[in-house]
Amino acid sequence: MKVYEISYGQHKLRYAFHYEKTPLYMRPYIRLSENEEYDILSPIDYMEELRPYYTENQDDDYVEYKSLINLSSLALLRENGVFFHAVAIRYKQKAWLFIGRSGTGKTTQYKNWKKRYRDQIELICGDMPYLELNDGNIHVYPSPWNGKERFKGKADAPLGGIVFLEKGDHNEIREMSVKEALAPLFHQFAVEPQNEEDIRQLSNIADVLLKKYPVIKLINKADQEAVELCSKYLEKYL
Amino acid sequence: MKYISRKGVILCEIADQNVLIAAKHLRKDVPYVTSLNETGAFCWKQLEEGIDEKELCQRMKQEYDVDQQDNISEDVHSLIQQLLERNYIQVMEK
Repeated sequence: MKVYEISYGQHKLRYAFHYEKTPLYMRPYIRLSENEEYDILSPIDYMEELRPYYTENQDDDYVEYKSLINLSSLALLRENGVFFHAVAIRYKQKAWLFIGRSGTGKTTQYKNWKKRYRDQIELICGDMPYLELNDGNIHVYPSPWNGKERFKGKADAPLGGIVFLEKGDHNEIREMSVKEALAPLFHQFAVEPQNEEDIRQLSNIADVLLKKYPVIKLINKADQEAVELCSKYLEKYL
Repeated sequence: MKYISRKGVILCEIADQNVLIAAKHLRKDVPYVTSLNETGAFCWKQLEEGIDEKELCQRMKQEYDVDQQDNISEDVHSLIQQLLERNYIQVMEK
């Protein structure tokens, strides 16, 4: 059986797949592994749990690829890391995470920023960036889960802040209070803690996230004016 | 009648907020994340070992050094009802 590996920040996970084509979804981050230092993850239990959520037309290798998010996230949680549902970009040497309900314009926001700032914007990850807590700081890395548009990022950066998107008929920006940001933030962590230890690990990451980094609400019309307003606002955190 | 918290719900302090977080196996019938105020968090800690409403009121009174027994009784009763409705706690089996 072939064993593969992927690096997430300071850590590596090794995988053995049930379907030959599954690793193709994980390019360019995956490679064959000769390393024997780490346990091998194999997602069969999660696949059975996830399969009912997918249509029959969706291939088993795709379901295997998707089911690995949860399994990988649980393994990485023990290493102080977690996947986070967001579009992550690098702008002025820092990582900015755009979050929001489906359809609130995360991808549009990235495209508009790219249009405005071109080479100053680098993509970290289009759907599930990896957040790693190290010495009290959070660093953001790419992951193989890029969303339906397959926005595969290469950059990584120390976290700058989180922008919570909401669609509106005007553009408005403000910092959210901890109380207000807590619940929406928690729902972006792509992990389902199994026990007290997992919950404590996750709450430790959330604690640093909320104490140290701003969570900003951007009500927006998904236009260039929103990009101007937001980028100007972010300057105070640079 | 004693009440006890569900196993797998953990009280955490996140950025100076008291938060209840539920483990995966409870997620179908317990909310994932709920904030509690300071007195709510105190009550939760008592409920982790199992306690009846009257005893909980007494401990609250001691902790917060309050004389108005009526208000405390009402607050504790209301909190217990809310926690029961959301399946955070259950009646303790003898």
